[in-house]
Amino acid sequence: MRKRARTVGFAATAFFAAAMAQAQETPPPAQEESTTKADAKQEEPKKEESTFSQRLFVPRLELGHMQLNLKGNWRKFFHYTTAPDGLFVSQFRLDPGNRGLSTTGFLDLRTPGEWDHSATGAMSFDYGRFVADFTNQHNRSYDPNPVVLPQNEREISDLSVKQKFGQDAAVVFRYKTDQRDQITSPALRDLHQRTYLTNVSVEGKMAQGFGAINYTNWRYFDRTNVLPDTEVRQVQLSYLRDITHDATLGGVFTHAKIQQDNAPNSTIQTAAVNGSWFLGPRTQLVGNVTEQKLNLASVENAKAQARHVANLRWVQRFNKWSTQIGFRTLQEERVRADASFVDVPRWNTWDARITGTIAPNVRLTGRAWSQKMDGHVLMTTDDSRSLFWREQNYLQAKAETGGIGWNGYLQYTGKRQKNPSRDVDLKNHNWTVGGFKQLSPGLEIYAEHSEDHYSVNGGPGDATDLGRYLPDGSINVFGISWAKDARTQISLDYSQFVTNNDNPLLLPEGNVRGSFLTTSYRYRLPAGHEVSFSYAPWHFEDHVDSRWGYDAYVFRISLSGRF
Amino acid sequence: MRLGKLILPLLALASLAFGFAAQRPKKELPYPLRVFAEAKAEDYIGEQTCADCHSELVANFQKSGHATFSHDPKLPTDKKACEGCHGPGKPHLDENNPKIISYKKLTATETTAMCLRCHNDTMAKGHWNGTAHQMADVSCTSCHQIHPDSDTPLGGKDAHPGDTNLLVDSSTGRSLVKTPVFPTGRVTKNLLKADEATLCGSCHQNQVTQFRLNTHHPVLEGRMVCSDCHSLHPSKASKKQVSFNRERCIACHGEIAGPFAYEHDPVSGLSGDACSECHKPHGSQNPRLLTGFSRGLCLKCHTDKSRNHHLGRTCWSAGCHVAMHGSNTSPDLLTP
Repeated sequence: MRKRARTVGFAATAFFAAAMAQAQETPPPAQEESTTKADAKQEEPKKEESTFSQRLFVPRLELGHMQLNLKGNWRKFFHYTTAPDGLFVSQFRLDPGNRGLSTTGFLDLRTPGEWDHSATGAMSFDYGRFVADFTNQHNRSYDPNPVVLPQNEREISDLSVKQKFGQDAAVVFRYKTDQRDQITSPALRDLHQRTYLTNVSVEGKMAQGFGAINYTNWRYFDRTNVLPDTEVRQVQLSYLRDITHDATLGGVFTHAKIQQDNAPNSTIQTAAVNGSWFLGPRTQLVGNVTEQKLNLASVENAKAQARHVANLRWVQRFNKWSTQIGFRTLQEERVRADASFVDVPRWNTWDARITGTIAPNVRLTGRAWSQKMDGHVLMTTDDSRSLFWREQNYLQAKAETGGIGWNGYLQYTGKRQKNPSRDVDLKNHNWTVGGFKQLSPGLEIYAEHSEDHYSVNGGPGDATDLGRYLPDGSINVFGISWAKDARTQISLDYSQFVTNNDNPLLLPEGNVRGSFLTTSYRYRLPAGHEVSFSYAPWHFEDHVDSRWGYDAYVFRISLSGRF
Repeated sequence: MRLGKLILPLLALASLAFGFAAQRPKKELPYPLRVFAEAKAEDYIGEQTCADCHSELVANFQKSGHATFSHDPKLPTDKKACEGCHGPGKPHLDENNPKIISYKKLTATETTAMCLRCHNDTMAKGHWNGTAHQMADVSCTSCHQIHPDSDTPLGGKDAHPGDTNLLVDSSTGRSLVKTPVFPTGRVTKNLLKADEATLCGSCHQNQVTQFRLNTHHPVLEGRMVCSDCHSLHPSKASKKQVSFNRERCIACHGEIAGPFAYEHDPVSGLSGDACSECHKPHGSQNPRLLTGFSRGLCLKCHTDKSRNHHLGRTCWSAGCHVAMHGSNTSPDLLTP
């Protein structure tokens, strides 16, 4: 399967390269002659133009040399992606010199030949009536555990083709493959899976509205044979129409069928009606009602057989202010595990937003929502007390100020979750302050500080120890960006995070500190070529188990040019 | 009252509203759509005339993604080249009272209406209306750059659309993506002003800052972008993510899609906050983007296990409840 994806990837890359080569054979169309009076005016000689606009395509190549100088747990450094070490091709790109042609496109290859590489391309024919775009991405990464584990590999390919019919309709086809091989820490299951997505859409104007028919086929294969192979076939019909200049009404119907090996089929049907209505130039009403019927025949414990959702939102704009008030209700029909009863819990959520200017260059933004759960849900666990959050509240307030060349912001975000039946009252607070300032044209500094705190309130119940497992943390960011002149740019970005964790079990990854400094110098040569230098000392410490930490002193030099 | 019973009355109300609204007199078109509606054929002067005064802008526009589409000879005159966006050029030649549509002066609603004159093949106005960005008065040009910026520090006449990093340099240089160290980054497409993390982070600072935490979705490494999870243009069918019963997480994490014989309700997506019950989607100081550390994650809900249940051990990494996303064999999620 990896071969298939790689073959698809290279075939598509070859196709785009050939199409680009073909495009350069196509002469540019004759300039269209305008018949208006203004065309009688003699054209003056054009001013100085870019050297590339006369060419059909322009290749660009960037070569790099990187030294990682890694010490310690290099697996943590490569936790998400693998950086090249040594000489490498950083980028090869083909761009059209003139995008005014009927055929155009681009091809972008990143670090070809390295463990991490990607290819992105797009071609457009007949002035955009037929568009194809393609992405192939391969990544190698590692579980951060310093115990020797094999690498993780992931390859994603995504192809999309669109054919327009006039201005009013289009057919879109999409095919995506995802191959994932992940070796995790002991105890968790390795993942060796393949996922394939096929999507076909027909969409366009229909009876003064906009309609779409969408078919999706999603297939999942577990190569370890632990999880059943799963196939989902979904059909979606949607229609949207402006019933007046100010009001829009639409509907969506979705039918999904889920097939799994050695399990009964499941179906999920969803019907939704949504609308938006401008009651006036400053007033808007937005609403949605969704009904969902679920037949999850393979599920044996508690499951939902239906969900009903409705939400309504009022948007009101004033002179310098904008407010929103919304209400959402979700009601679920939940079948108990022994199928003896259907519980009907309901979650009601009120939310409000306000944004406005309180003084010249001072802007305030506030968001808040409050959710309450009504109804009883019988638990089948050893402890029959409810496991659901009975009440959740959220508040975010932000003050921003700024002018030409500077900006500052202060933001508070708070969330509270309560489960009275288990005496749990959990709070999270986050403070963020930051801003940027332009010290002179081309020279800018920025900084940000963010803190995260958890607290647990409750009686002398089981939740007493909970706070010891919810770590606080902070992030600091500082940076400078300097465009010294038209050819020179220098940048510096420093970020640091710290985790403050009681960590009573003394586990790794609980008390960590990271500091990452990334500096870059870039110079553009007269012919448009560039040379750049980067130096990035990165450090990660684990205060419980030093084997999890690393030190990296990354040095990179790159040369790029257009030909 | 069961919500299911509201469907029919709501549909009836909608039909009445439809019938009533259809009879209302047509409303005058707002500016700037009115400019196009009132223009005459002779008011359009062609791109070459614009270039007489705005040569650099016109030359730079040839490098933009719009250049291909706006030079289509089959397009109506009022959608071609400069005048397709800025309105007929003849009124602009009036030395006493030059008129042209300037996007610096349009409201968010007016800007969106202008873009949808051509982009209504995949997104009707109704798709945009009611989205969070529309209600927050964000317009197309808040994120998309139509004219390749010609006054970037490293730009000028040699600025080229392939130099996507130039757009970032022209704004702040504050690119979050660590391309100096991880050069295999995602290509910035769709005429965005900057890479998505930097662009979205200009308003959503808090969310983007979380990507700098210990564990995070790999946006800083260039493997992911914001639109992989967030759908900004609801009708763009070609990029629809699959989410039939859980959140969009299953588009990349198929192993949790289920359905499982024994679901981990309420995290199955139907009753609670689905994946967000346990994971912070942007970044977390805890391993695996979790909201709590070791036993604390589970103890938030399963408080009865705090005192008398395998003290000193963790819940899944100790090898017990390893099927925390759902199991086909064990009601206690002990085995897959």
